[in-house]
Amino acid sequence: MRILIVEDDRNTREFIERALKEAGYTVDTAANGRDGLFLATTETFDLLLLDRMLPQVEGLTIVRTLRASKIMTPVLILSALGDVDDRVAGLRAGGDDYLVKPFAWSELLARVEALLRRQDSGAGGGESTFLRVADLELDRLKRSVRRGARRIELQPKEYQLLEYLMRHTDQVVTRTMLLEGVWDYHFDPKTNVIDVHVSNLRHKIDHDGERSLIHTVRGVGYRLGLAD
Amino acid sequence: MSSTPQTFRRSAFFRFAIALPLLISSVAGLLMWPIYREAVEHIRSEVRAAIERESWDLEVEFHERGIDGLIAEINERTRRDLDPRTLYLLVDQRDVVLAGTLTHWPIGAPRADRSWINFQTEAAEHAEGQVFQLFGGRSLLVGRRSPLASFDRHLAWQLAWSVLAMGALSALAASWFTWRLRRRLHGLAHSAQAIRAGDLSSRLLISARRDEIDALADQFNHTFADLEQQFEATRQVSSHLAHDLRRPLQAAQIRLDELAHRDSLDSDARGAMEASLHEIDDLLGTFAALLRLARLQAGGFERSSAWLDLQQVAKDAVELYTPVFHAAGFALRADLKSCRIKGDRHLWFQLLQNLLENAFHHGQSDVEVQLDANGELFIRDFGQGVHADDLAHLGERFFRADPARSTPGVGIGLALARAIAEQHGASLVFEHANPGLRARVRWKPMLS
Repeated sequence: MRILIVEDDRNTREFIERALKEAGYTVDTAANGRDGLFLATTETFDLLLLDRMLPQVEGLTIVRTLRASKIMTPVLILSALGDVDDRVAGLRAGGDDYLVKPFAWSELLARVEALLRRQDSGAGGGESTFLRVADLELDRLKRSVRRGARRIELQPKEYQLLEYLMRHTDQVVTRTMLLEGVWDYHFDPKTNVIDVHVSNLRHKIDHDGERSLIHTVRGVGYRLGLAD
Repeated sequence: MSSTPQTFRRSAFFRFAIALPLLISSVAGLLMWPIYREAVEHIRSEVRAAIERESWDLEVEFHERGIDGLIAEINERTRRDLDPRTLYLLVDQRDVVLAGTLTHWPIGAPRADRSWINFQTEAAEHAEGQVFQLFGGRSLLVGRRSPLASFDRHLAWQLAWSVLAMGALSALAASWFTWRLRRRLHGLAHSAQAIRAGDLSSRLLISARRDEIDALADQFNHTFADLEQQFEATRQVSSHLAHDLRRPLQAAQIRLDELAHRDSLDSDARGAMEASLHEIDDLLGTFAALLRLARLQAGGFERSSAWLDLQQVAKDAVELYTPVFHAAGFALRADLKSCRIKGDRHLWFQLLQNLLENAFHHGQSDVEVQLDANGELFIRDFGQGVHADDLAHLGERFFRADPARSTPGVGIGLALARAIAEQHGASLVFEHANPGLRARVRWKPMLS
């Protein structure tokens, strides 16, 4: 997986570069918008990380230029501008996700992984109507959930939460990602709001004696999957 | 501006439009009254002078030729019909007509010598006359058909109509004038509202007339320009500050984050690092909230023009928070009516979240959320409430009521909620609910 980072601030750039390299990605960097645009149009990447405010060519301009020339590489926009209208502007320009600076290492990795996976599954011909993790099954047509022989009744939001977690099986999802993905509101959730919802869901999914599927990733968020 | 009868009566323009024609009519009435009196007096004295001339002639005749001479003279004058306006009547003590143009003595007319009387002729014409008592109980009436009554009626009507016409004209003029003035002021109020709503680059419209109102608008525009400049400067300073202060914090966060991910770390060090990271996160979060508040208060957000149902947003917030309350052993009850407003759903969700967080942390009780169809939103807890002195300060930046000092937070959530309400033309107030505290979002009556 090859990722291009376009970021003018050296500290941030090196931080992201190290984080991604440690996670096993191949990383290229550019320190200004012009170089970034040049690299993004002449070489092939699996993901672009774009700072919004860049010298020479602005981040959103790069996205628009890429999309106009039919380069559909997923773009994660990084910005110090975190308000709703800024985010909307970023996504409207063609960005796939928007991460507000300052961000934590884990939040960045979770989102990078989510974007790359989406790319993968997108190539595989759309999302399936049937999600399965171990003996947990979710039927999106019937909106029903079973674990083995046990039928699980879920509240609508719990269902959406589970669906989101299962679509991101074995990935770390952060609380902010859950609030965005399930509730469609964009800002950092307060205190333990999301935790309570996940905990309720976990009570219904993971009964005593069953292998637990919903794991808490300390300080980061959650992961649904078999491995601990 | 809605034109209910109430606000209409309160309008200075309305009062002016009523007062001006009243004043002008009164002044016109006052001016015309002496003219009218003068004219009436003049006519009356003319009539009386003519009667006196006539009676003088008859008196001379009577003195020289006695009663027969008088009768002959009256008959002669009647026959010659010198002046058709003149009337004569001579009767004896039994009211038998001896001579004259009248058929009988006017009913009810007095007989005192030299008294002036008003009477009606047979043809119902108005007349004035003078009575003379002659020797032998005879009475002479010398009269004259008087234009006074018809003139009186005529003139009174004329004058009344003039006064009414002046009143009507001035009412029309006043209405037109105030209507135009009102329209211009409306325009100005509209522009001012746009500026208030955050469009700092907007200016009041100045017409080509360059009159006093335009001069005033021009003055205001200069003030607005100065304000905009200052706002812009403040905004730049604050964004530079934000950048400069965030950077070192961010750098520290990055280093700690990197260190925390080293495998060589023992668990104590990792715990300390994660705690520090958490604190930096909180600090950056407070910083972001402050910036957001500053931006809201400066009107930096374009007011989103999308229609949204507040009920849906409130439902989402209640749904998000219900498990939180349940987990703590409290109930979150909601009674939500549909209410469509223009606004930004993310901001309203944030407002609800901040109010719910506040109710949850400081109420430590059940909480009720109520949304009326007119957009009034109540969030009420059943906790201890706040001290009366603190009530008015809730929602001020960095204000924290004393009992709240032990709980986390810096006193920015309610300020943010208030700023969001105000951004949408509503207001956020806090009331005692006995027991507990009630937060209430009210809509200000808006200029249309």
